[in-house]
Amino acid sequence: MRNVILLMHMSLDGFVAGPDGEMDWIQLDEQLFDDVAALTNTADTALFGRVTYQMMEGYWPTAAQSPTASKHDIEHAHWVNSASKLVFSRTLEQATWANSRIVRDNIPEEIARLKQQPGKHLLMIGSTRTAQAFMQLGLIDEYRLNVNPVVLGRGIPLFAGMQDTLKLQLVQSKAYGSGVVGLHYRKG
Amino acid sequence: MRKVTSGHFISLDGVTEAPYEWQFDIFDDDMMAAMTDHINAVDTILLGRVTYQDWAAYWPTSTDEPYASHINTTPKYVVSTTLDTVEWGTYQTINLIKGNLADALGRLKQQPGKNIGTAGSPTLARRLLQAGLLDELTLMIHPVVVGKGRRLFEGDEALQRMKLVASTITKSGVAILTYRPA
Repeated sequence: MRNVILLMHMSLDGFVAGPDGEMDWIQLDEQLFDDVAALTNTADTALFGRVTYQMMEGYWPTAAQSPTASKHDIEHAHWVNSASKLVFSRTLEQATWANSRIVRDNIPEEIARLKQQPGKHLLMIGSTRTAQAFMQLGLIDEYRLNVNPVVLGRGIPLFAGMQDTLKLQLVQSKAYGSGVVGLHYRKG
Repeated sequence: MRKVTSGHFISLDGVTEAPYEWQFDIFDDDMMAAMTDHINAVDTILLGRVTYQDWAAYWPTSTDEPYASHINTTPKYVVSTTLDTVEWGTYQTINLIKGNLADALGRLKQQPGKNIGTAGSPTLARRLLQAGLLDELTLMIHPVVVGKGRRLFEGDEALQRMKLVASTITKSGVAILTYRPA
């Protein structure tokens, strides 16, 4: 069964970025990179909101060619460049990244249709506003949250606009050497 | 050396208000063991004004054990500059810290004893963390997004790096994470 999986790096106080989008506080050690790579290998489709898509579209197509590309850059570039990419936006005019498609409306129907087709999981990394919309529509099947050992104080919260209580089931947790704790939940 | 500690039932989206509304069936053996460990590690309790006022109206006549005996008989200090007197039913185990909190905690820490732990009191906990007076913060993260209610972190704190010192999960899916300020 294809699942929609959300992967986010989060501060202890629930922020996914600083007030101006800062992400320099996010800790990524070797073990965590390996686990993210293992997760992406279970997915063949990447889901984006417009803002994240436009950032990624300008970076990943050539990231592996850079002389300073790390092993992780190369692996992730390979995965994301070949994955089917969906960007959820009413305003984006064109998606130039290879293997991309814009979804303008009827999101629940589109997701349901994709989940019926054979394939691997659908993975959303970042894309906070779209993640929130998906959460409110009940479209996220699994949450992979990497809780960083820092109180940011201010920033962009992951959970916003939730009207109803959302019960989850903790599938697994993992503490990394950096102090990050990975929490893996599925819909309860 | 005694530690000043603070533990909280908290939802995944950071809400600490009214846990009875979202805890569901969370009190399994693992959770009871964690609560027991916590009770055994603390012999002095710190309360903020709001928690004190709620709890002083409930615990002195409660029979909910082992919590009632623990909270009623353990020495308690209410941190408040606005209250003049504090009471706890017929118990003589309640005191008031009106003046300098750092000094008062410093004196308590010098006395022999177990840890000094907040109970409830998210505002006080936040204040202790921001003032560099908190030695350990434990979040019992429940597998639920609540959406509404007061949160432990209000969104206007200063940046504070932490170090993870312990992590465990309960069978019912609560992640108990303990940090100290880095």
